[in-house]
Amino acid sequence: MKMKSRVRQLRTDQGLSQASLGAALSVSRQTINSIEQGRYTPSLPLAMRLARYFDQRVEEVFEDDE
Amino acid sequence: MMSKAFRACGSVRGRWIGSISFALCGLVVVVAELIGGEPTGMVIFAVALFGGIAVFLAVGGRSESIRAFRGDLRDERLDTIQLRAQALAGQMVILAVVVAFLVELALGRSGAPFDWLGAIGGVTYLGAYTYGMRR
Repeated sequence: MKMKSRVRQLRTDQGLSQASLGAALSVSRQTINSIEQGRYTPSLPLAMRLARYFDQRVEEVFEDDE
Repeated sequence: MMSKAFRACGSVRGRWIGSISFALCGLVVVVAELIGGEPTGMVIFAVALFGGIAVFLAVGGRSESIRAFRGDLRDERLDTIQLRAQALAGQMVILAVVVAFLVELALGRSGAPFDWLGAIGGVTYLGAYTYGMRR
């Protein structure tokens, strides 16, 4: 199942680079890019960590692409 | 419990471990070739191949792809890629072993050593599958 995410929007709103967001979450820049492009669906722990980082709920950051 | 996603990303030690591991693999191959009396050209080729890759990994710079390959950059996505690559490589090896086993049988031979190699692969797969299903 493909997931849409608002990670790019949330990241750019805060003026963060993919590399700095990746460093903050201990994942690679390529992984942040893949999540933003919808090519990689993160695990639940990483999705929760992303949502917490942006002070959002998981379902506010990710949604089904159906 | 700490998730895979939150493991430390990158270390100088990891960089050298990846490179030195490759160099050691090359050294083992070279020693085996020397013991087996391989021609000098083959030994030089092995030294150049493994040494070249080890040096490339050591001085490979900050590219995330190279860092992930040599093992000093890890996260859950890179682990998944690694797992899929290993699974595909394993499937190719099993396929080659099965084909070689059948060819050996068709030539009227016992199938050795491919029968044992196939058995090791099959037993390992069943063991891992059973373990995974019980977790």
